[in-house]
Amino acid sequence: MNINPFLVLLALLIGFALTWFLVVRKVVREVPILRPVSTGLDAAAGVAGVAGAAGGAGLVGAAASGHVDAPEVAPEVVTEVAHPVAAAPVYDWAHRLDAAEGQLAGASEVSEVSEVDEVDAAAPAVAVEASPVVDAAAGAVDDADPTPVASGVDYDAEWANEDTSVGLDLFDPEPANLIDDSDVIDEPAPVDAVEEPEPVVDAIEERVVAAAEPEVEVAPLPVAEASVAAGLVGAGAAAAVRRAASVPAPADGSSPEGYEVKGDSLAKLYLLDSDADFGRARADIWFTDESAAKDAGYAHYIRTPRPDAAARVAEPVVAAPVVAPVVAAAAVAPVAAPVQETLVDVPGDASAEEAVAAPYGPGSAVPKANGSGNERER
Amino acid sequence: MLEFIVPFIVYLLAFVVGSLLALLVVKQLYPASSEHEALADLARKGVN
Repeated sequence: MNINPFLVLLALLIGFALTWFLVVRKVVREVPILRPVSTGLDAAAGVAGVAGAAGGAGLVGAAASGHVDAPEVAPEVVTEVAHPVAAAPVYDWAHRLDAAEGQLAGASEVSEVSEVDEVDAAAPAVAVEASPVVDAAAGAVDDADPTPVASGVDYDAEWANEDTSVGLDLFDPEPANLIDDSDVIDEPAPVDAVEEPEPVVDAIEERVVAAAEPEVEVAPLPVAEASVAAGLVGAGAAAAVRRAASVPAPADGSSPEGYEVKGDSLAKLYLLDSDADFGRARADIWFTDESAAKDAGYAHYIRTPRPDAAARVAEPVVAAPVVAPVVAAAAVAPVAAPVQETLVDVPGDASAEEAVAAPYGPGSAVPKANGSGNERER
Repeated sequence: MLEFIVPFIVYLLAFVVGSLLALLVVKQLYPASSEHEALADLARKGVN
């Protein structure tokens, strides 16, 4: 019965590691950071959250965790303000987190809103026990009441239709339209159950407003989209002007009438009629003039000669392969010049005689007529 | 027989202790183990 302490430690570590990897992998898999596509449970939870935030006074919406978690979370959230985080679709984690961070940063605003809401929540907190309206809004199923849809939100129907109608509604930037709050406001509560239904309705109304107002603040997208759209319209107008100043090149390669500047739309370059390469350049767009090309963002193509070509131009051509193959081999320019201008030594400071003896450099020799090599001359 | 069972149980206990330790640490690092729990935590923290 000897117990090795190292083995005990090893078993402990193995248990730790095994459990760690199993649990952490499960957590990472089940808690996505961003889920752009809403399907299934998310859609239902999103609708429950949105509907609850506005119609159910944030009770179910604040929970936003679906059918199962709503009852246990709802009592804690009764005094919470129906925040834009709850109003935002569940799938939109980025917006939810941004809104949450913004609210944490602006703690004063949150506290102000919370205070107001807590004052409003005092009345319904009393009425919760007696009012089936609030019971239905809270998602608590009242078995005694066969129609717990006094709030106008039929959660069961939404869960049943979660894959069809609900999914599209989630992309509505104004989720308040999902709520038929007219029933909440207009439909009188059962007289025998509620003595004073007015505070409940008022509280729900104000929560509806509270749920709807921050949504406008949190979602600056319409404004941004409007500005972007305006920019696009401006760009579109500019593009229209640009199109008027340019035309696509005809398929036959001819130059269209009234267009004198060739353009390469891929390289964003243009060539003028005075350019050397204008004739051989193939255009895929034509401009009326240079300014039109510049307005379109094109740059003037200026051919810059390659360095070796520049050297060729600067230095005279010295090779004459017919006269002296040695010189031809030593010459830099591959183009055969018909006229020999000067004699150039082969590399290595070899003299002219050595160059003749070794036409391709030291160690080389001109072959004999029969094709054999010369004997080495030392 | 006893010479085998007792060390085996001790090692098994060590394994279980290690697993519980790992669960404890994971729970501290990742309070929410599912999307629902994460959202519920948001609600409890008052940011929802």
